[in-house]
Amino acid sequence: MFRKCLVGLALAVAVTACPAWAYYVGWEGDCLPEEAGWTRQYGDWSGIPHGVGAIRTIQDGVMTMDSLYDPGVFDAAILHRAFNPAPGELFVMEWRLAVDQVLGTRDPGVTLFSDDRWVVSFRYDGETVFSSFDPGWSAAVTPGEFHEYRMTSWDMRTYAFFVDGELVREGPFSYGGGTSQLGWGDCVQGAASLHRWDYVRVFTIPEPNCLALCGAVFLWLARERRMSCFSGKERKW
Amino acid sequence: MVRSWQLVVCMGLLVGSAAAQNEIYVEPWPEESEFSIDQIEQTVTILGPGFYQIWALDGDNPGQIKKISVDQPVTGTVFVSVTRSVGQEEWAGAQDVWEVDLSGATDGRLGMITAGNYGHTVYGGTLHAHSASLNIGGSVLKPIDVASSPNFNITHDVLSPVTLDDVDGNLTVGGTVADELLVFGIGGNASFGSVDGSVVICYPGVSGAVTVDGDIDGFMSLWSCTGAVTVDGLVSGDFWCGVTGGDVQFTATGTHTGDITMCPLAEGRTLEVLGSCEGTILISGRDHETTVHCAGPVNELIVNDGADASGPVTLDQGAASITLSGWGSGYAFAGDLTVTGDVGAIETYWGIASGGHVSVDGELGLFRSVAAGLAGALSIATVPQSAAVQIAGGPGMAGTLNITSLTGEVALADGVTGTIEIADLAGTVSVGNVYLQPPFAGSLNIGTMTGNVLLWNGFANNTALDPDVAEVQIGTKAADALFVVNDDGRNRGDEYWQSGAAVQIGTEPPYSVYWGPNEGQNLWEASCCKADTDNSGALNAFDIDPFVLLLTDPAAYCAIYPGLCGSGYDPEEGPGGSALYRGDLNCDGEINSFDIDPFVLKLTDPDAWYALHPKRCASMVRECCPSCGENDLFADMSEMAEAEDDSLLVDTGEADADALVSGTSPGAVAEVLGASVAPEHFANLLSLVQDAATQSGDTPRGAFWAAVAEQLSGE
Repeated sequence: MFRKCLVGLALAVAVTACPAWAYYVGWEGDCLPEEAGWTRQYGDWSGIPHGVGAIRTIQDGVMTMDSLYDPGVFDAAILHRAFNPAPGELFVMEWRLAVDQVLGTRDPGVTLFSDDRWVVSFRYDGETVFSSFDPGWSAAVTPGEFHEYRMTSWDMRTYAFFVDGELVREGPFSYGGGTSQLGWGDCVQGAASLHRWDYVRVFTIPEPNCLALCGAVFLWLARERRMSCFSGKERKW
Repeated sequence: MVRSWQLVVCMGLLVGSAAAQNEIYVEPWPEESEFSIDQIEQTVTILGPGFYQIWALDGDNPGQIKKISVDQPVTGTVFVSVTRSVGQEEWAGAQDVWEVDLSGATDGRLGMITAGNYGHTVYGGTLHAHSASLNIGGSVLKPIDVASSPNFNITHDVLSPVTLDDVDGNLTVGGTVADELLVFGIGGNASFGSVDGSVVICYPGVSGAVTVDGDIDGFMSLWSCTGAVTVDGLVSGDFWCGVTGGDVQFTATGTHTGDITMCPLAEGRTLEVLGSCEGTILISGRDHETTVHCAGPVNELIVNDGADASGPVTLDQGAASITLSGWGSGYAFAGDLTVTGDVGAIETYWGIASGGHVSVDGELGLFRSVAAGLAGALSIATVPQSAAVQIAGGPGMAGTLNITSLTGEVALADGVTGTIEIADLAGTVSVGNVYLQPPFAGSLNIGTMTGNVLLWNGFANNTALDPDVAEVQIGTKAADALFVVNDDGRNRGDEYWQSGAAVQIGTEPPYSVYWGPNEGQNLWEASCCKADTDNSGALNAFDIDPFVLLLTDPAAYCAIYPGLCGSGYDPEEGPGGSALYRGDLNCDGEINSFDIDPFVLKLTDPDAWYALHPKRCASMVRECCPSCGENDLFADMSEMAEAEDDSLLVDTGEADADALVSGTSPGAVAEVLGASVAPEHFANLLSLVQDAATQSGDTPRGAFWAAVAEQLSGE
């Protein structure tokens, strides 16, 4: 497992051969996020940190998070770093998630704060996915089934959001809040949920002269995953 | 080895920048109050009524709160407090509260207070939050101070002070601003329910439009407004608006009891008030063409114009008071004021400029131009009794004055070269009451004349007219209506009724044209002679009877010489017009027995009298009147003034008495008086002389007049 967790980290180092603005950070579901360099933030109504957080299990490259036992529980993985793409680059954030059950208005989700306090945040209520700071729309998702989600942005002011490869929303970021961090998991105190994470990846698509190297890295990553994490599931890049 | 090295580097790359976690805490009351915290989004969602104390920590420091909201309808009060206090009761508060939206609650209330350093700036005990969007469903009950906000929405009342440093978007207050709302600039529109407290929008003002749905009972001040301003309620407090790029409209049809101030409207824009105004409407700084329209009656309208101001000002139902003023010297009213209905008073300091027009289609109590004349047009339907049109100072009246019905007074102080048209003159037109001003040189057209026209500074030939056209044209003239080219002793000779100046009476040929006075038609020209009480132009014994009559029965005197009594005899004020000038020989402002000495002196030795009274009872130096025996005794005016300064006893009559006593004998005076007085006036004359003796007592004057009385009695 530890070797598989190194995959994302190794990839991040590998892309440093590209110009500094090109990066790739990924968690592939083969280890707990904090084992891959993420910071765990968890707690319950009694405090932060307190309790054990969500009940997390990893099996076949998927991490299951279960907080149904206590709505006061939240449990998320946080990554602090610079995310903004350089001019001409495309920021990409993608994750694969199955939401089995939500008690409350929302619980699992992904939130990104840009380097300059612009934020986009997606949450799940069990039947839909929606953007917290871009209200008025939602996209239906099938409970209990994995869906692939991708958010892209050129400027960290507006975003495009895809579900299973289909564009479902082009909307704005919202200004304000913390700086430069990515968080995902069981985010809400006051709600409970059962959901499963396959992967979370965030990267920029670099300039064309780096595409070849990055492409090689992606191929290597795919090979590594196929070798070490193969579970018979189809994976797409 | 390579992978181990990569691990070390990558761990540093990924987590080396890890910061303390931002954590949000909520303490509800009651404890079972429903809410949720999204620690990753840094948001708090309130799900039920209650009091929510909220704070955030980032390590040991105040943390971030991205948003506090009521996402679903909540019935009841949601009171959110984000408080930073340091002391016995410590609350962390938050570094920034980026967005608050309590509009989901039927009664959402927000309180943000800090006693310490709270976010970007410290403002006393008030939270200074950096709010990206602040939506408050209920009322603001505690002070709020927001650094910047794209939008700021309060659905209910503002009950505590709110300060907004910068609103990039729209500002909306659905309720009443009962406390103070201070905003430093609004990028979008601003709307308010009503204003009981104060709304002050400072520089740079409002980029969009401003609407007020309710009443303004407090104070509302807009530095400037790019868009339109619409107030649907009534103003009982003060409304003040700086430069406005759009139209300004007060749509309510009720009564505004407060004041409305605009300074100014943008070019081509309109201020419209559909209701009535018991307060003041002030249009200040008008420097270009704008439109002002008041549909209801107005108590006070002040239009303070710049040099280039113009445009229509329309009042549909009159006004109690209208002031037309400029920013500085020469800024006369150049607009077009049209008033339908009655006007109590119109005052203008710098007059009406050429091209300017003031029209009152109703009764006007007073029109007064203080420092400048009338170069434009003034049109008034009715100037009733006790009302007046006064144009004083400045270059005179070169414009047009049109009055349909005049039973009051028109007083034009300076030279008139313009046109006066009065359809029905039952009052008085008086031109010139300032010394040494040019004579009336304009045109006067009167339809029906039952009142009087008094030209105090003479009647000049209007060279602008066709020589065959009379300067004064009267359609129908009542026999007792006076046209007087008056004599107050200020000028002399032919300056009064100049040759070529004519009065025409009649509307159809053949007209009656008078090129000089005709006392039978009551067309008078008064002479310059002091003591010339019969207006003969000369001073002689025929003046004694009228003089005695003037002293003893001024009403009877004025009945005989109406043209010398101004607008008539007033029992309290005494004879008006030139009668006072003519009979007040000792210059004490009254006609009484003390005038007998100087009267006799004036008859017997005009030069002696003139030497004592070189100013001839005026307050400034003037020339002598040769037609009544006065000779030029003074080489220049200054010498004349010095002589006046030396005759300090004129008010007592002693100087005249001394001159008379030392210059002639009682017998000679008795001879003059006795030989000239009519038999029916003799008793009065004797009584006057006896009074003079008695009042003077045991003095040379008393002895003198006692001797005159004795001589008269003996005869």
